[in-house]
Amino acid sequence: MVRKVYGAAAAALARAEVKGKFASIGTDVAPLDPAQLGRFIEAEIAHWAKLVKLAGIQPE
Amino acid sequence: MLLPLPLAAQAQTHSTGSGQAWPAHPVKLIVPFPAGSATDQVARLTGAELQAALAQPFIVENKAGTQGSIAAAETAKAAPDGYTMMVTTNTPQAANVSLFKKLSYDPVRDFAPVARLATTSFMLMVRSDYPAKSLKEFLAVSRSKSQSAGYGSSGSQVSLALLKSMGRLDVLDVPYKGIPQAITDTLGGTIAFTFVDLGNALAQAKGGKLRGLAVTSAKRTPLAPDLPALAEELPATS
Repeated sequence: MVRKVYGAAAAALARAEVKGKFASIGTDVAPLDPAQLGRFIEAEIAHWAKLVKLAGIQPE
Repeated sequence: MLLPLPLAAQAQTHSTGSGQAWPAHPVKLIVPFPAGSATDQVARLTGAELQAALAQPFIVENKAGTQGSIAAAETAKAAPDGYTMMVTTNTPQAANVSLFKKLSYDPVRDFAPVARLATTSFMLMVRSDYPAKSLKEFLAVSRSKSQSAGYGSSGSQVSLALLKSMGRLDVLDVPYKGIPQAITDTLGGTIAFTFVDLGNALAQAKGGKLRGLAVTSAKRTPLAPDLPALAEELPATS
C-alpha cells in the first residue's frame, strides 16, 4: 500500500505539468521515498529543536 | 505525506493485499491546516493525481487547530488500514515537538512515512514604500529603530524570533490567527514587516504593494531566485 502510493505520487511529481501546478502554489516538488522521509523527519525534529532553542521560544 | 501507525498497519495491509486489492474504497487525506492553505492545496493536487492513478477517490478533510496537533492526533488514532492518510508538514511532525510541552501523538512512532511531496518556505516582506530594497539594507535600517512585526504560523514565529535574536533587532512581535491578517496589517502599516508563505508571497510581490527581501529556506528557492536566503546574512537562522 505504501509502495503503491509512493509510486503513484513519485510518477506524478516527475511530470512537468504537475511540477508547474506545485510551483504555482509556491512549492517546489521534492520527492523522497518512505525510508528517506523517515530519516528526514527525524532530522527535522532535531533541527527544529535547535532553532526553537536558538530563538528562545518557551514551549507552551 | 504520512499515514498512521507502522507495524500493525503493514501487517494488516499485507493480509488484505492477498485478498482484496488496496484501495477498494475511498481514501481519506487529513490536512492539518484550513482550506486554502499551502498544505491544503498540495493535498488537493496530490489527491487528484492519486485518484487518477489508483482509481479511488482521495477525499481531503481539513482539521485545523493547535498547529496541526489535532489532525495529527486523529490520524495517529485512525485504523491502520491504509484508508486514512495525512498530508502533513514539518510543523506537526517536527516543530511541535519543541513548541509544546506535551503532544497527544508521537510524530515518529504513530506514523508510517509514505512520500515527501514538496518543500516550501516563508518570505520576509515589507510594504513597497519601506526604506530598504535588499536584505542588507533592511538589517541596517531595522537595527536603527524599533518596529512591530507579525507572524501567522508557528513556522514563521520561529523565523521571526530567530531574525530578532540573530539579527539583533528591536522588534515587538504581533501574533496573528493567520498569514492573511498579517498581510493586511503590513499593507495598512500597523506592522513594518511579516513572514508570508511562498504561495501568497509570490502573488503579493506580483501585485507590487509588498516587497520580498529574503526567504527562510536554507538556500534560495527557484520560485524566487533573486531573493537571498536569510541565512546568507544570518547563518544561524535556517
